[in-house]
Amino acid sequence: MLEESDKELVEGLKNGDQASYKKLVVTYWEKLNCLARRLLNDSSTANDCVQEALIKAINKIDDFEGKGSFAGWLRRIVVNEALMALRKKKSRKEDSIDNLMQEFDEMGMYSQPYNGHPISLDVLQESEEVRTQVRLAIDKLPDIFRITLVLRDIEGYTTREVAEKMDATEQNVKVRLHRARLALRNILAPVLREEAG
Amino acid sequence: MKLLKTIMHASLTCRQVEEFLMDYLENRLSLWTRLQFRVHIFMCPNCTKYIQEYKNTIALEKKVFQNPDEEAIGNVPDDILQAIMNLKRQ
Repeated sequence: MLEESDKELVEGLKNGDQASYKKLVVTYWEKLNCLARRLLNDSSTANDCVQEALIKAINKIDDFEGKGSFAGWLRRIVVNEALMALRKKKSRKEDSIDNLMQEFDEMGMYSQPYNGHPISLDVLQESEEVRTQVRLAIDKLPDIFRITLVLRDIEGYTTREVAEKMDATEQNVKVRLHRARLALRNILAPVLREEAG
Repeated sequence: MKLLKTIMHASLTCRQVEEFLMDYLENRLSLWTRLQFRVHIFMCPNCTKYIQEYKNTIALEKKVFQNPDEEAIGNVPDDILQAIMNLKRQ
């Protein structure tokens, strides 16, 4: 069900009302820009991506039927634009994630003992420093792993939807998601535990 | 006792636990592998802690972007706002 404020906004956009264009940008810029930054890991490209997405949204506003949320429709346009921008990117971040994986000995056991204890989730979630570290850790993931993680875990896409968006098999998406989460855990290990005193 | 010994002998390695972790949490392992998995984590404190951190990581990354204020995006750049305001629909 479309919210009343969005209903008015969509009507204005369909009528080519300039004030509605401004309202669209001012209302959704921040949220869409966060999403684009997460996907692209670059603020300048994210700005371009959101600009393109908003222009596309205005030009295609007649395609919006009002069945789902307007914000969701806009987010999908941003995701498509961001993926297109990444495909065009000349120097893509190295796609290997092996250097961020846990090391095991020849017996398949941890090569280093785990000292300390995991900090409880409640405590971690309260910490602004931890939230900052999580964002920085996500930025360190290679593109395909970061995008998989953002679309699946944060944007709530299904495995099949991510596979379609990324021209990958569902099995590939599952493997990438798991490896992205493992890498993230390994990067974050120092903030996730209390060292044994 | 004999059964327990058999199960322990057939237990997974830490590497395999890591490999199967997502399937374990999503209940997608076969009964036998699930049993092997549980035996391993029962015997291995490293893996028990590792799994807790893995779960915490997922919970954190899912929640961390809920508050965009913390990301300091800033206002819409003027040139972008102007470009969109002056847009003529195609």
